[in-house]
Amino acid sequence: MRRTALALALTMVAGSAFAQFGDLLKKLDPSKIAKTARVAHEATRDFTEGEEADIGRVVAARILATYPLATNEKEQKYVTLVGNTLAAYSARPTLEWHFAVIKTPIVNAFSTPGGFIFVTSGALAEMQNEAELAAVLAHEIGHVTQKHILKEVKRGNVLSAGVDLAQSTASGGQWLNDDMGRKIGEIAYNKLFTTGLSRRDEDESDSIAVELTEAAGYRPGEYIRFLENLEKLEGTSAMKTLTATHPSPASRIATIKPLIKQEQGEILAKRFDTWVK
Amino acid sequence: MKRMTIALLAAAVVVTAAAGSGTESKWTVTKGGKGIASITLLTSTSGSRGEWKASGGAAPVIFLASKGQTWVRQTGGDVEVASYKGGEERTIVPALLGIDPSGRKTMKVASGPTTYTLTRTSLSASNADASNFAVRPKKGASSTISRLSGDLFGQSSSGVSATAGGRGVGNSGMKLKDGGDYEAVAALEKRDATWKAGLDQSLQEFQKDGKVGKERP
Repeated sequence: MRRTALALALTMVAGSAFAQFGDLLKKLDPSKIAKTARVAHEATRDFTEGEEADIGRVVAARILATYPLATNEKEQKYVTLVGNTLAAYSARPTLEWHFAVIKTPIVNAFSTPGGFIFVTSGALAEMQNEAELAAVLAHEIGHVTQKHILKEVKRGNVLSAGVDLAQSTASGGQWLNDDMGRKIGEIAYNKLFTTGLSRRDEDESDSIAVELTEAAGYRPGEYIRFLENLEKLEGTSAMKTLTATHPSPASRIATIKPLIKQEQGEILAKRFDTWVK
Repeated sequence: MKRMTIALLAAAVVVTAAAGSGTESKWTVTKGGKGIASITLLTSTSGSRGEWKASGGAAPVIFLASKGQTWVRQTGGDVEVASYKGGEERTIVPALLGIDPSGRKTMKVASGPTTYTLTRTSLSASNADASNFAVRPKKGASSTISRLSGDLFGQSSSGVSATAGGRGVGNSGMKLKDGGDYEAVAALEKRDATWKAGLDQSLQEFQKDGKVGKERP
């Protein structure tokens, strides 16, 4: 009874408010209200796969403006074959994956939303076998499937670019403009080359690297061997960006070791030498 | 002052109601100018639902988008689109599920060398029940499992072909004046498009040779 009375009272208050300001509401343009609602909705929704692919192109373009593609086609094919072998076990096997080697002596690998994955020629030079390469590529696949960079882009753009996106989409236009490209590029560049992703994101990708390499039949322990090798390079210029953007190799090894469930698996050192060395 | 506050509150109620409401739109799909299917797209705050109806009269296929994942309704439950062995709808409907239908009248979806044109023929408000958008995964078809073993519910070689396949979404060839090297991106995409034709075969041989991947003995 009390609830009914309360509901009636609320209805009367609401009715009175609408009646009293009915004239004002009549003056509101329904199309503008709908557009505002769409803008608000667009600004908070997730990116579509198509938008993610476009953001990936922006970030890939920024990476390739920094380091060019390596010209050794044999190495490029090899990285593509190993990468696609692993991607089939990922959470997003149908993504249009692109794997490539970029030319720089620094030891690192990068990924973008939408599935562009780059490993540096400097990192390849430090690897001993295909299992190590697989682990590095799998780590980057993890960043893509877990949308780590995309989350940073969304976080950084939600108030400005997000609304622009909504307005552009609502008018049926191309959604990315030069200014948005610059903002996205800056966020991604900052994360990839200067500050790095969060420790949580890196740990998650390392965990996925172990899962994918094990699932694909590579020996996951080779990932630790690679990181141990990097420990020896700490302090060198080749390690500068990796050190700045990732937890230390020792810390990563401590995280990864308990995750390894099997010691078996392929190493493929000779095949690696055939394709890379 | 009080009147203004109430007016603003009332306006907020109207805006919130508009934002929360969904849409129902109908789309025709043409390939080379010839109609091949229609899609009914429902959107709501709970997700999106696309019903694909091929012109030949085959049974409709229902796609659901929820929390960043796309599912296909099948007997016994919903499966992730990655493991759905369908035809061209596998690429087309997920692309449509991601858009705001009130902001688009047409869109093009590329799948390999083929381009499909989607044209919106109607758009209306919808208050479709949330149950229309509910995903009910088939037993064992969770994304966590698929992350670990992408072939658990697909054909044995699905990983190979699916990985090599393109989704046909996004703006390939996009170029912005933002300091990025879009020529290099285009070159990389072109390279992979060229390699794509032989990639399945190469992957099979590569995986057999190394005893890794889905083709390992």
